[in-house]
Amino acid sequence: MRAAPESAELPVALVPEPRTALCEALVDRLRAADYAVVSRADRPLDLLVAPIAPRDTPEATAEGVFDAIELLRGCRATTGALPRRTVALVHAGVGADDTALRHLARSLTRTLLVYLTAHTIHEDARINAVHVPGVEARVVASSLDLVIALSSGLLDGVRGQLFEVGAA
Amino acid sequence: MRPDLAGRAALVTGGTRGVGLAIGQALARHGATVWLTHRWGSVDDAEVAAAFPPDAPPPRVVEADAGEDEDTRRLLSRIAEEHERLDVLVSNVAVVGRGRGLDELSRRDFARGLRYSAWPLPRYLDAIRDTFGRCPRTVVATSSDGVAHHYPGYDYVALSKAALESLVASLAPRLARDGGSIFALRTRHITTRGLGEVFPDAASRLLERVDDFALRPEDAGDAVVAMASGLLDGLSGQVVVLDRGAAYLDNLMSVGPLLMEGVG
Repeated sequence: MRAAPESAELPVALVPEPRTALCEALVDRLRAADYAVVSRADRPLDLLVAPIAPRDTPEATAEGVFDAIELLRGCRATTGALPRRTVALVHAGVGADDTALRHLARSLTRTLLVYLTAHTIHEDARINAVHVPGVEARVVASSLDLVIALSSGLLDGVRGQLFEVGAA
Repeated sequence: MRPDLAGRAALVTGGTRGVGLAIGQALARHGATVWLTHRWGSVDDAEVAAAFPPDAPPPRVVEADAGEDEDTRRLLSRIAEEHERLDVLVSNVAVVGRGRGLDELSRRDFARGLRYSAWPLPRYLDAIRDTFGRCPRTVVATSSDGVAHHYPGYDYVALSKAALESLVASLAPRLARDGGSIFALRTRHITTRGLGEVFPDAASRLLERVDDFALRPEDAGDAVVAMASGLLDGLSGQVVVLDRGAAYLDNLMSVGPLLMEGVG
Protein backbone atom coordinates (compact mmCIF):
# COMPACT_ATOMS: atom_id res chain seq x y z
CA MET A 1 0.00 0.00 0.00
CA ARG A 2 1.35 3.40 -0.97
CA ALA A 3 1.23 6.51 1.14
CA ALA A 4 -1.76 8.79 0.62
CA PRO A 5 -0.81 11.19 -2.19
CA GLU A 6 -1.05 14.69 -0.72
CA SER A 7 1.36 16.45 -3.09
CA ALA A 8 4.02 15.77 -5.66
CA GLU A 9 6.58 15.51 -2.89
CA LEU A 10 7.07 12.38 -0.86
CA PRO A 11 4.95 12.32 2.27
CA VAL A 12 6.97 12.78 5.42
CA ALA A 13 6.98 10.47 8.43
CA LEU A 14 8.76 11.24 11.66
CA VAL A 15 10.09 8.31 13.65
CA PRO A 16 12.10 9.70 16.58
CA GLU A 17 15.55 8.52 17.54
CA PRO A 18 16.95 6.51 19.20
CA ARG A 19 14.96 3.78 17.50
CA THR A 20 14.17 0.31 18.70
CA ALA A 21 14.40 -2.68 16.37
CA LEU A 22 10.64 -2.40 15.92
CA CYS A 23 10.92 1.25 14.88
CA GLU A 24 13.78 0.45 12.51
CA ALA A 25 11.62 -2.20 10.89
CA LEU A 26 8.83 0.36 10.62
CA VAL A 27 11.21 2.83 8.97
CA ASP A 28 12.00 0.22 6.33
CA ARG A 29 8.30 -0.37 5.72
CA LEU A 30 7.58 3.35 5.47
CA ARG A 31 10.39 3.87 2.97
CA ALA A 32 9.08 0.97 0.94
CA ALA A 33 5.73 2.77 0.97
CA ASP A 34 7.39 5.91 -0.46
CA TYR A 35 7.67 7.92 2.74
CA ALA A 36 10.52 10.25 3.44
CA VAL A 37 11.43 9.29 7.00
CA VAL A 38 12.90 11.95 9.27
CA SER A 39 13.85 12.09 12.93
CA ARG A 40 13.06 15.80 13.48
CA ALA A 41 9.99 17.81 12.65
CA ASP A 42 11.50 20.28 10.18
CA ARG A 43 8.47 20.37 7.85
CA PRO A 44 4.76 19.51 8.05
CA LEU A 45 4.30 15.86 8.82
CA ASP A 46 2.00 13.34 7.23
CA LEU A 47 2.76 10.80 9.91
CA LEU A 48 4.19 10.92 13.40
CA VAL A 49 5.15 7.70 15.13
CA ALA A 50 5.23 8.11 18.92
CA PRO A 51 6.83 5.09 20.59
CA ILE A 52 5.55 4.30 24.07
CA ALA A 53 7.24 1.58 26.08
CA PRO A 54 6.88 0.51 29.69
CA ARG A 55 9.81 1.49 31.86
CA ASP A 56 11.12 0.17 35.14
CA THR A 57 8.53 1.71 37.46
CA PRO A 58 4.91 2.91 37.21
CA GLU A 59 6.07 6.52 37.63
CA ALA A 60 8.64 6.24 34.85
CA THR A 61 6.15 4.48 32.61
CA ALA A 62 3.67 7.32 33.06
CA GLU A 63 6.44 9.81 32.25
CA GLY A 64 7.05 7.91 29.03
CA VAL A 65 3.41 8.23 28.06
CA PHE A 66 3.58 11.97 28.65
CA ASP A 67 6.58 12.12 26.30
CA ALA A 68 4.15 11.37 23.47
CA ILE A 69 2.22 14.54 24.29
CA GLU A 70 5.39 16.59 24.19
CA LEU A 71 6.41 15.02 20.90
CA LEU A 72 3.06 15.98 19.43
CA ARG A 73 3.24 19.52 20.79
CA GLY A 74 6.82 19.88 19.59
CA CYS A 75 5.74 18.98 16.05
CA ARG A 76 3.04 21.63 16.11
CA ALA A 77 5.39 24.24 17.54
CA THR A 78 7.97 23.55 14.85
CA THR A 79 5.82 23.03 11.79
CA GLY A 80 2.77 25.11 12.69
CA ALA A 81 0.38 22.18 12.50
CA LEU A 82 -0.23 18.82 14.07
CA PRO A 83 0.79 15.80 12.02
CA ARG A 84 -2.11 14.68 9.83
CA ARG A 85 -1.82 11.23 11.32
CA THR A 86 -0.20 10.11 14.54
CA VAL A 87 0.29 6.53 15.62
CA ALA A 88 1.44 5.80 19.14
CA LEU A 89 3.30 2.53 19.05
CA VAL A 90 2.91 0.85 22.41
CA HIS A 91 5.39 -1.95 22.78
CA ALA A 92 7.55 -3.79 25.29
CA GLY A 93 10.62 -1.87 26.35
CA VAL A 94 14.08 -3.30 26.64
CA GLY A 95 14.12 -5.31 29.85
CA ALA A 96 10.64 -4.22 30.80
CA ASP A 97 8.69 -7.42 30.42
CA ASP A 98 6.58 -6.78 33.50
CA THR A 99 2.98 -7.45 32.58
CA ALA A 100 1.71 -4.87 35.05
CA LEU A 101 3.80 -2.07 33.55
CA ARG A 102 2.69 -2.96 30.04
CA HIS A 103 -0.91 -2.97 31.19
CA LEU A 104 -0.36 0.45 32.76
CA ALA A 105 1.19 1.89 29.59
CA ARG A 106 -1.76 0.62 27.57
CA SER A 107 -4.37 1.92 30.01
CA LEU A 108 -2.83 5.38 30.15
CA THR A 109 -2.48 5.48 26.37
CA ARG A 110 -6.10 4.46 25.85
CA THR A 111 -7.40 7.26 28.05
CA LEU A 112 -4.91 9.75 26.64
CA LEU A 113 -6.26 9.00 23.16
CA VAL A 114 -9.76 9.93 24.33
CA TYR A 115 -8.59 13.33 25.54
CA LEU A 116 -6.14 14.10 22.73
CA THR A 117 -8.82 13.27 20.19
CA ALA A 118 -11.27 15.59 21.93
CA HIS A 119 -8.69 18.38 22.05
CA THR A 120 -7.85 18.03 18.35
CA ILE A 121 -11.27 17.14 17.02
CA HIS A 122 -11.50 20.30 14.86
CA GLU A 123 -8.01 19.90 13.45
CA ASP A 124 -6.83 17.90 10.47
CA ALA A 125 -5.23 15.39 12.79
CA ARG A 126 -6.12 11.91 13.87
CA ILE A 127 -4.33 10.12 16.67
CA ASN A 128 -4.49 6.37 17.14
CA ALA A 129 -2.37 3.72 18.81
CA VAL A 130 -1.19 0.21 18.05
CA HIS A 131 -0.26 -2.13 20.87
CA VAL A 132 2.44 -4.58 19.83
CA PRO A 133 2.23 -7.41 22.33
CA GLY A 134 5.49 -9.19 21.52
CA VAL A 135 8.43 -9.63 19.20
CA GLU A 136 7.23 -12.62 17.21
CA ALA A 137 7.73 -12.02 13.49
CA ARG A 138 4.03 -12.52 12.81
CA VAL A 139 2.99 -10.01 15.48
CA VAL A 140 5.53 -7.43 14.35
CA ALA A 141 4.50 -7.83 10.71
CA SER A 142 0.83 -7.39 11.56
CA SER A 143 1.62 -4.32 13.64
CA LEU A 144 3.60 -2.69 10.86
CA ASP A 145 0.81 -3.51 8.40
CA LEU A 146 -1.60 -1.72 10.70
CA VAL A 147 0.59 1.39 10.93
CA ILE A 148 0.83 1.48 7.14
CA ALA A 149 -2.96 1.13 6.88
CA LEU A 150 -3.51 3.96 9.37
CA SER A 151 -1.11 6.16 7.45
CA SER A 152 -2.74 5.45 4.09
CA GLY A 153 -5.66 7.83 4.52
CA LEU A 154 -8.16 5.02 4.11
CA LEU A 155 -8.84 4.96 7.86
CA ASP A 156 -8.97 8.70 8.45
CA GLY A 157 -12.44 8.27 9.92
CA VAL A 158 -10.87 6.27 12.74
CA ARG A 159 -9.83 8.50 15.63
CA GLY A 160 -8.70 7.84 19.15
CA GLN A 161 -8.55 4.04 18.97
CA LEU A 162 -6.01 1.71 20.48
CA PHE A 163 -5.65 -1.39 18.33
CA GLU A 164 -4.64 -4.64 19.94
CA VAL A 165 -2.67 -6.67 17.42
CA GLY A 166 -3.20 -10.40 17.74
CA ALA A 167 -5.90 -10.03 20.37
CA ALA A 168 -8.03 -12.78 18.79
CA MET B 1 -30.18 -9.70 52.04
CA ARG B 2 -28.52 -7.17 54.29
CA PRO B 3 -24.76 -7.62 54.63
CA ASP B 4 -23.60 -7.49 58.22
CA LEU B 5 -20.28 -5.67 58.51
CA ALA B 6 -20.39 -5.35 62.31
CA GLY B 7 -16.95 -5.59 63.85
CA ARG B 8 -15.18 -4.78 60.61
CA ALA B 9 -12.88 -1.84 60.12
CA ALA B 10 -12.95 0.16 56.91
CA LEU B 11 -10.67 2.94 55.69
CA VAL B 12 -11.92 5.42 53.08
CA THR B 13 -9.31 7.83 51.75
CA GLY B 14 -10.74 11.19 50.75
CA GLY B 15 -13.71 10.18 52.83
CA THR B 16 -15.03 13.34 54.42
CA ARG B 17 -17.21 14.55 51.58
CA GLY B 18 -18.96 13.58 48.37
CA VAL B 19 -18.67 10.01 47.17
CA GLY B 20 -16.11 9.06 49.83
CA LEU B 21 -18.39 10.23 52.61
CA ALA B 22 -21.36 8.38 51.12
CA ILE B 23 -19.31 5.19 50.95
CA GLY B 24 -18.28 5.65 54.57
CA GLN B 25 -21.90 6.21 55.61
CA ALA B 26 -23.04 3.09 53.76
CA LEU B 27 -20.37 0.92 55.37
CA ALA B 28 -21.26 2.33 58.78
CA ARG B 29 -24.98 1.71 58.23
CA HIS B 30 -24.06 -1.95 57.86
CA GLY B 31 -22.08 -1.95 61.07
CA ALA B 32 -18.50 -1.23 60.03
CA THR B 33 -16.28 1.15 61.96
CA VAL B 34 -15.17 3.66 59.38
CA TRP B 35 -11.96 5.67 59.22
CA LEU B 36 -12.13 8.67 56.92
CA THR B 37 -9.10 10.62 55.76
CA HIS B 38 -8.81 14.10 54.37
CA ARG B 39 -5.91 16.26 53.44
CA TRP B 40 -6.83 19.73 52.39
CA GLY B 41 -9.18 22.26 53.83
CA SER B 42 -10.78 22.34 57.20
CA VAL B 43 -13.08 19.53 58.13
CA ASP B 44 -15.52 19.84 60.96
CA ASP B 45 -15.32 16.46 62.71
CA ALA B 46 -18.64 17.04 64.45
CA GLU B 47 -20.34 17.82 61.17
CA VAL B 48 -18.99 14.65 59.59
CA ALA B 49 -20.03 12.61 62.64
CA ALA B 50 -23.53 14.11 62.48
CA ALA B 51 -23.87 12.81 58.93
CA PHE B 52 -23.66 9.25 60.24
CA PRO B 53 -26.60 7.22 61.55
CA PRO B 54 -26.86 7.54 65.35
CA ASP B 55 -26.93 3.77 65.78
CA ALA B 56 -23.79 3.25 63.67
CA PRO B 57 -20.26 3.23 65.04
CA PRO B 58 -19.06 6.86 65.00
CA PRO B 59 -16.58 7.65 62.24
CA ARG B 60 -12.94 8.35 62.94
CA VAL B 61 -11.69 11.34 60.97
CA VAL B 62 -7.95 11.64 60.39
CA GLU B 63 -5.90 14.08 58.39
CA ALA B 64 -3.51 12.04 56.26
CA ASP B 65 -1.90 12.89 52.96
CA ALA B 66 -2.30 9.86 50.70
CA GLY B 67 0.88 10.82 48.87
CA GLU B 68 3.02 10.78 52.03
CA ASP B 69 4.17 7.39 53.29
CA GLU B 70 4.83 8.75 56.76
CA ASP B 71 1.22 9.93 57.05
CA THR B 72 0.05 6.50 55.93
CA ARG B 73 2.14 4.72 58.56
CA ARG B 74 0.87 7.06 61.27
CA LEU B 75 -2.72 6.56 60.18
CA LEU B 76 -2.42 2.77 60.19
CA SER B 77 -0.79 2.80 63.62
CA ARG B 78 -3.81 4.66 64.94
CA ILE B 79 -6.19 2.17 63.35
CA ALA B 80 -4.13 -0.70 64.79
CA GLU B 81 -4.69 0.70 68.28
CA GLU B 82 -8.39 -0.12 67.89
CA HIS B 83 -8.51 -3.01 65.41
CA GLU B 84 -6.62 -6.24 64.89
CA ARG B 85 -7.13 -6.03 61.15
CA LEU B 86 -8.31 -3.67 58.45
CA ASP B 87 -11.07 -5.36 56.47
CA VAL B 88 -11.93 -2.82 53.81
CA LEU B 89 -9.84 -0.22 51.98
CA VAL B 90 -11.52 2.27 49.68
CA SER B 91 -9.03 4.31 47.68
CA ASN B 92 -11.09 7.35 46.81
CA VAL B 93 -8.77 10.32 47.12
CA ALA B 94 -8.30 12.28 43.92
CA VAL B 95 -6.67 15.55 43.07
CA VAL B 96 -8.94 17.65 40.91
CA GLY B 97 -6.76 19.61 38.51
CA ARG B 98 -8.29 21.05 35.36
CA GLY B 99 -6.77 20.12 32.02
CA ARG B 100 -6.96 22.99 29.53
CA GLY B 101 -6.32 21.49 26.13
CA LEU B 102 -3.32 19.98 24.41
CA ASP B 103 -1.07 23.01 24.72
CA GLU B 104 -1.63 23.44 28.44
CA LEU B 105 -1.29 19.85 29.60
CA SER B 106 1.46 19.96 32.17
CA ARG B 107 3.83 17.16 33.10
CA ARG B 108 3.86 18.43 36.68
CA ASP B 109 0.07 18.35 37.06
CA PHE B 110 -0.07 14.96 35.36
CA ALA B 111 2.48 13.58 37.84
CA ARG B 112 0.69 15.25 40.73
CA GLY B 113 -2.64 13.63 39.84
CA LEU B 114 -0.99 10.22 39.71
CA ARG B 115 0.91 10.82 42.92
CA TYR B 116 -2.23 11.39 44.94
CA SER B 117 -4.81 9.36 43.06
CA ALA B 118 -3.08 6.24 41.76
CA TRP B 119 0.33 5.43 43.20
CA PRO B 120 -0.85 5.40 46.86
CA LEU B 121 -2.93 2.25 46.27
CA PRO B 122 -0.06 -0.30 46.21
CA ARG B 123 1.74 1.68 48.92
CA TYR B 124 -1.31 1.51 51.16
CA LEU B 125 -1.48 -2.24 50.60
CA ASP B 126 2.20 -2.62 51.51
CA ALA B 127 1.74 -0.55 54.65
CA ILE B 128 -1.44 -2.40 55.66
CA ARG B 129 0.35 -5.71 55.22
CA ASP B 130 3.26 -4.46 57.31
CA THR B 131 0.91 -3.27 60.05
CA PHE B 132 -1.68 -6.04 60.17
CA GLY B 133 0.15 -8.98 58.57
CA ARG B 134 -2.28 -9.27 55.69
CA CYS B 135 -4.04 -7.26 53.03
CA PRO B 136 -7.65 -6.13 53.51
CA ARG B 137 -10.39 -8.58 52.64
CA THR B 138 -11.89 -6.06 50.22
CA VAL B 139 -10.21 -3.25 48.31
CA VAL B 140 -12.14 -0.80 46.17
CA ALA B 141 -10.65 1.91 43.96
CA THR B 142 -13.16 4.51 42.87
CA SER B 143 -12.88 5.43 39.22
CA SER B 144 -15.05 7.25 36.72
CA ASP B 145 -16.16 6.89 33.14
CA GLY B 146 -13.93 9.83 32.29
CA VAL B 147 -11.43 7.03 31.67
CA ALA B 148 -13.29 6.08 28.52
CA HIS B 149 -15.24 9.25 27.64
CA HIS B 150 -14.07 12.80 27.28
CA TYR B 151 -15.20 15.22 29.96
CA PRO B 152 -14.00 18.80 29.54
CA GLY B 153 -11.13 19.65 31.86
CA TYR B 154 -11.01 16.15 33.27
CA ASP B 155 -7.72 15.07 31.66
CA TYR B 156 -5.59 14.62 34.76
CA VAL B 157 -8.26 12.91 36.83
CA ALA B 158 -9.11 10.59 33.92
CA LEU B 159 -5.49 9.60 33.42
CA SER B 160 -4.97 8.94 37.11
CA LYS B 161 -8.13 6.83 37.18
CA ALA B 162 -6.91 4.89 34.13
CA ALA B 163 -3.71 4.13 36.04
CA LEU B 164 -5.78 3.15 39.08
CA GLU B 165 -7.89 0.71 37.07
CA SER B 166 -4.72 -0.81 35.66
CA LEU B 167 -3.29 -1.21 39.16
CA VAL B 168 -6.48 -2.96 40.26
CA ALA B 169 -6.04 -5.57 37.54
CA SER B 170 -2.37 -6.04 38.41
CA LEU B 171 -2.91 -6.27 42.16
CA ALA B 172 -5.67 -8.88 42.04
CA PRO B 173 -3.31 -11.89 42.25
CA ARG B 174 -1.59 -10.36 45.27
CA LEU B 175 -4.93 -9.83 47.01
CA ALA B 176 -5.98 -13.37 46.14
CA ARG B 177 -2.93 -14.76 47.98
CA ASP B 178 -4.32 -13.16 51.15
CA GLY B 179 -7.84 -14.33 50.38
CA GLY B 180 -8.95 -10.85 49.39
CA SER B 181 -10.58 -9.18 46.42
CA ILE B 182 -10.03 -5.88 44.65
CA PHE B 183 -12.34 -3.90 42.40
CA ALA B 184 -12.46 -0.67 40.47
CA LEU B 185 -15.81 1.06 40.75
CA ARG B 186 -16.26 3.16 37.62
CA THR B 187 -19.12 5.60 38.03
CA ARG B 188 -20.97 7.94 35.73
CA HIS B 189 -21.26 11.52 36.97
CA ILE B 190 -22.46 11.73 40.53
CA THR B 191 -24.07 14.91 41.76
CA THR B 192 -21.66 16.16 44.40
CA ARG B 193 -19.90 19.39 45.26
CA GLY B 194 -16.81 18.01 43.50
CA LEU B 195 -18.78 17.75 40.26
CA GLY B 196 -19.57 21.44 40.43
CA GLU B 197 -15.90 22.24 41.00
CA VAL B 198 -14.82 20.52 37.80
CA PHE B 199 -17.66 21.28 35.42
CA PRO B 200 -19.29 24.63 34.70
CA ASP B 201 -22.79 25.50 35.89
CA ALA B 202 -24.20 25.18 32.38
CA ALA B 203 -23.05 21.57 32.20
CA SER B 204 -24.55 20.83 35.60
CA ARG B 205 -27.89 22.35 34.55
CA LEU B 206 -27.84 20.31 31.36
CA LEU B 207 -27.18 17.17 33.35
CA GLU B 208 -30.39 17.81 35.27
CA ARG B 209 -32.26 17.19 32.02
CA VAL B 210 -30.97 13.63 31.93
CA ASP B 211 -31.51 13.10 35.62
CA ASP B 212 -32.66 9.51 35.08
CA PHE B 213 -29.01 8.61 34.56
CA ALA B 214 -27.59 10.70 37.37
CA LEU B 215 -26.17 8.66 40.19
CA ARG B 216 -26.54 9.58 43.81
CA PRO B 217 -23.53 9.25 46.10
CA GLU B 218 -25.53 6.60 47.97
CA ASP B 219 -25.48 4.38 44.87
CA ALA B 220 -21.69 4.22 45.12
CA GLY B 221 -21.99 3.46 48.83
CA ASP B 222 -24.38 0.58 48.20
CA ALA B 223 -22.07 -0.85 45.53
CA VAL B 224 -19.11 -0.81 47.92
CA VAL B 225 -21.19 -2.57 50.59
CA ALA B 226 -21.98 -5.27 48.02
CA MET B 227 -18.27 -5.63 47.29
CA ALA B 228 -17.45 -5.80 51.00
CA SER B 229 -20.08 -8.51 51.46
CA GLY B 230 -17.94 -11.01 49.54
CA LEU B 231 -20.69 -11.73 47.05
CA LEU B 232 -18.72 -10.20 44.17
CA ASP B 233 -15.44 -11.98 44.83
CA GLY B 234 -15.68 -13.74 41.47
CA LEU B 235 -15.10 -10.35 39.83
CA SER B 236 -11.82 -9.52 41.57
CA GLY B 237 -9.48 -7.42 39.44
CA GLN B 238 -12.26 -6.09 37.26
CA VAL B 239 -13.92 -2.77 36.63
CA VAL B 240 -17.55 -2.63 37.76
CA VAL B 241 -19.45 0.05 35.83
CA LEU B 242 -22.09 1.89 37.83
CA ASP B 243 -24.04 4.07 35.38
CA ARG B 244 -27.72 3.04 35.37
CA GLY B 245 -27.16 1.73 31.85
CA ALA B 246 -26.52 5.21 30.46
CA ALA B 247 -23.60 3.99 28.35
CA TYR B 248 -26.08 2.19 26.12
CA LEU B 249 -27.92 5.45 25.39
CA ASP B 250 -24.82 7.56 24.98
CA ASN B 251 -25.59 9.06 21.59
CA LEU B 252 -27.28 12.18 20.31
CA MET B 253 -30.34 10.37 18.95
CA SER B 254 -31.13 8.94 22.37
CA VAL B 255 -30.10 11.81 24.59
CA GLY B 256 -30.79 14.68 22.20
CA PRO B 257 -34.58 14.67 22.60
CA LEU B 258 -34.22 14.69 26.40
CA LEU B 259 -31.84 17.63 26.22
CA MET B 260 -34.14 19.52 23.87
CA GLU B 261 -37.26 19.11 26.00
CA GLY B 262 -38.64 22.53 26.79
CA VAL B 263 -36.06 24.25 24.58
CA GLY B 264 -37.39 26.33 21.65
